[in-house]
This record gives sequence, C-alpha cells and structure tokens, in this order.
Amino acid sequence: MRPSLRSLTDKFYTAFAIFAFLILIIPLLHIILSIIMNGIKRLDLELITSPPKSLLGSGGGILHAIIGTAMVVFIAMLISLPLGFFVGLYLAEFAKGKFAHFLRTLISVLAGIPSIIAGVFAYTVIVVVYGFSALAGGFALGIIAIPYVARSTEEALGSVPMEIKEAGFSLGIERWKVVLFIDVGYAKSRIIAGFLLALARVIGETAPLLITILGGINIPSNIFSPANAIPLVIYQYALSPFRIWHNIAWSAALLLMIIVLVINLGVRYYLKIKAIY
Amino acid sequence: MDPLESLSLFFSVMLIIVVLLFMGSMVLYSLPVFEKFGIKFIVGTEWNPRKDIFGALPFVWGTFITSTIAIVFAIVISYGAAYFIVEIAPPKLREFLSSVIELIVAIPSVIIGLWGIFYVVPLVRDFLKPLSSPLSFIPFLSGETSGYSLMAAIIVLTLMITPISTSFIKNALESVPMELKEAAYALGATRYEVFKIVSKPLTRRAALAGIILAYGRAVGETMAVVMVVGNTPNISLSLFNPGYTLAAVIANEFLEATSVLHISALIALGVILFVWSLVVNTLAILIMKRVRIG
Repeated sequence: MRPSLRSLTDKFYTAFAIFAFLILIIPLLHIILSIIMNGIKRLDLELITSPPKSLLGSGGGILHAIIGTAMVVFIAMLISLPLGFFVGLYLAEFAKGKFAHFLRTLISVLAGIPSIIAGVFAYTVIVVVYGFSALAGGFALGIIAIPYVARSTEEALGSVPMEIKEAGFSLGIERWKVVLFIDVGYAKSRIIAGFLLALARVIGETAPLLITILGGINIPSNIFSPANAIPLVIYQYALSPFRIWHNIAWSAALLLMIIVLVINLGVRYYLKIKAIY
Repeated sequence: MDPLESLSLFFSVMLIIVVLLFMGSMVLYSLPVFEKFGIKFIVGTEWNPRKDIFGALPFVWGTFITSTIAIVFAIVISYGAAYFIVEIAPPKLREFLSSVIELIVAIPSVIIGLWGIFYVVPLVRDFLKPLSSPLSFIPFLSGETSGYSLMAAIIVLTLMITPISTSFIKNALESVPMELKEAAYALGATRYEVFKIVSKPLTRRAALAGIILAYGRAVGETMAVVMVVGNTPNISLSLFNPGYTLAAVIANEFLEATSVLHISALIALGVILFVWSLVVNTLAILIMKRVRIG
C-alpha cells in the first residue's frame, strides 16, 4: 500500500522535530565540551591561588577576580536577601488586593529589566559618589537578585499547608510567631534553595560589573576600591590578542560554569531529598 | 498591626522607593541629551562622541534586527524541539531532556560570548559567507565579512533564547489533557494532526507568553552580543556587516565616556532599552495572566 499524504506529512514533521531538537542541543553540547576541553589545561592550583603575572611569563592566576567576585556577590546578597525575603513574605502572608497586585507587577518588571540597566542605575547612584568600586557592582547585582529572592520566598511560603498554620493559630500563638516560626520553618529548605539560585544567577553576571567595578589587576582592599570579577576577567582576556590569556579565559569559564552548575544541580538534588518525607 | 506585617510592609515600601529612584535617576541623567537633541536623538543616524553628536538609530536598528531574526529562528526551532520532547522522545527521557535545556539557561552569557568569539565568528567567516556567496545579490547576504557581524550575534542570541521559549511551549504541550488528545487519535488523526488540531490551538497563549519573554531577553542581552557583533554603529541591511546594539554600546563606551553629554547619551540609550523591555515584558505578563489550559 502506498503511504498516504497524511502519513507522509506526519513523517515530515517528525523528521523536522528531530532536526530542530538537534539544532538546539548540538551547539549546547559543543559549548559545554569546548569549555571543558579548552579550560581543563589551565584549571590548576595556580589559577585560583595566584594573582595575574606579567604578559611575558606564562602562568599567573585570577585570585584577584575570585576575591572580587566573592566581595561583589557578598554585597549583592547583603542587599537582596533581606529585601527580597521580606517582600516575598509580605506577599505570601499579608498583602491583599490592589497593593499586592501592584507589588507583584513591580517585581515582574524588575525581573525583566536587562542586567546592564541595573549597572547604569548603580553608576548613577553609587559610582558618581564613591567611584568605580566593588560596592557599586554589588549594588547592581543586588538589584538584579531581589526579584528572584522575592518570588522564590513567596512561592516557598505559599506552599505551606493551611492545616499547619491553623494548628499554630488554634494554640493561640500570635500571627507573627506563626509566620516566622511555623511557616518559615516549614518552608525553610525551599527558601534557602531560592537564595542559592539567586546567587547562582548573579555570580555570572558580567554586563553590570563592566560599568561599575572597573576591573583592574589589583586585589581590592575594601568595598570602595575598584575590583575585578571572574566573569569580567573572562571578557577581558577573551578580547585580548594573547594565547596565554585566552587559555586563562577558558579556564575561568570552566571554573565559573562548575560553580553555577554545582549550585543548580545541588539545589535540585537537595530539594528532591527534602520532598521525600 | 502585627509587628511582622509592619516590618515586611516597610521592606516592600523600600523596594518601591528603590524602583522609583531607579527610574527617576535614569530619566534625570538622560535629560541633557534629550534637551539638546530632542527627537533627533532617537532618529539621528550619526553617533560621534568626539564631536558630541549623538543619534541612537544605529543601535536601535542593530537591536531590532538581531532580536527580531533571532526570535523568528527561536520560534521555529522551539516548536520543533518541544514537539520532539513531548510527543516523540521516550517518556522516560522527557524529564532529563527538559532539565538539560533548562540548565543551559543557567550558563552565564559571557561564557556563550567566549564560545562565540572562537567558534561562531570563524563559522560565519569561513563557512556561512562562502556558502551563501552565490546569494550575495540579496541585500541581507551581501558584502565581505570578518566574522564579527550581525549574523554572529543572531546565532548566539538564537541559541540563548531558544531554550526559554522551548521550555514554555513544552510545559504548555504537557498540560494538554490526555482525553482531548485521545479523542482526536480515536478519530484516526495522526500525531501531527493531533498537535495541529488539539494541542497547538490550546497552548497558543502560553507559547506566545514564552516567546515574548524570550524576545525580551534577546533585546536586553549584552555580553554575548558585544563580544561578537563587531561594535560598529552603522545601519546596514547585510547581516555579514558588523553592527551595534543598545546594550552593547552602553557596555563598551561607559568607561571611556568623559564628557557629561556622552554619559548622558549612554544613559539615554539605557532609557530606550528600559522602555523597550518594559513594553515587551508587560505584554508577556498580560498574556500570561490569561493563560488557562485544560
């Protein structure tokens, strides 16, 4: 029997779907493989323990950038965790009506803003006062992280079963104690997971840092001094004409990808364990 | 009032103040350039910081052309990939495949840019250009190329946003009730016909929301683009020519900018980008609110 036009059409679309999936997945695998292959060469102890060397010598590391990233991300978390957590808590437990709607819309708007714009904002309020600094970069990343923290906290608290809250209320416990000790306690692991994912989200951000922290070769002495960061080093070294620096860029990329993937996979795994009981 | 309610309300109000400050300071800093050039700032085609002449059109054009072509590619690929994951791939693999695609979204864009410099730029120069040279009478494919081009930017953007729209479409397709699909199968429909008649119409809104979000991401993407697009402010049709986008020029020139007007112009480009992505995201939010399947 000759295949009908209908079944041929069906076969055509099946072939197309397989093709589309391959078009999507092959470059992605290529990205991951090329980072591993190119990055593994210089992913050594020297990379993470020594500052950059002069161009003439081989070797050298990105210690300055690792310290810079730690500082910037720490500042970002210091800003975004309290703000995001309490806004999320307010939305989940107290907010009602139009104001809640407004606040949620505001968070969606904030989440959709291109990250470079957060850098521009940090420039206008921090850089013009304190100059290019780790503080300005941390501020920009903090702004980016707020909507993520707020959303995940709201979702986590929203998942607390009503019976558990009611059990608290029936004992005559005050509202704030029920929320803080029962609800937050119950949703603790999901809230922390949200914090970690926000951290993983901002640790690779480059664009806002490009216009706020200057990115030299010095180890920042305090939050008001210019700093560098791992993603920024990848950018700077990738654009340089030197082979040695390209290799360091690849290794820094591998390091960054490992950090981001470990956090992402770790959170998924951790939540799965928690979900069992 | 409950003490915790007061405390969390305080933080919420603080967030609102921060966002107002955000918008206010950007508008304030962009005023000088708007005052000097007026509407010419947006429609002007010349960008020359040395002569203090600022026209944003080359960047608006670059942003428009790269994000638009990338989203067209992304729509085609993500419908195909989502159809593959939901309807063709073995159910056991489904979870794994979708988490692989979701993890890709987590890769920092500077890493995509690094990969773009060393693999996409040579691909455009040594493969796509020779391949398409018989077609170079088409304005979009004309001219020579160094590889750093709108084309390279479109490729990395497509790669970065396709997982986002794929993930939305996939989730929507999965939420289509089995009974509806089975009803169509019972009538003798093929797999593709079930998709066309049942799943696609039902998931149109959710898919559209995902596509618009992906588009918003393409408009604002900075690092991957700035590393491969060639950073030249010209308005050309050929995708093999270098170009420039709003986000890329802000990233590139901010540190070099010394004159007040130059900084103001760059921040004004930020305002254009802000409004652009605000409109896109609001659209996505409005559509998403009305998504109801099953």
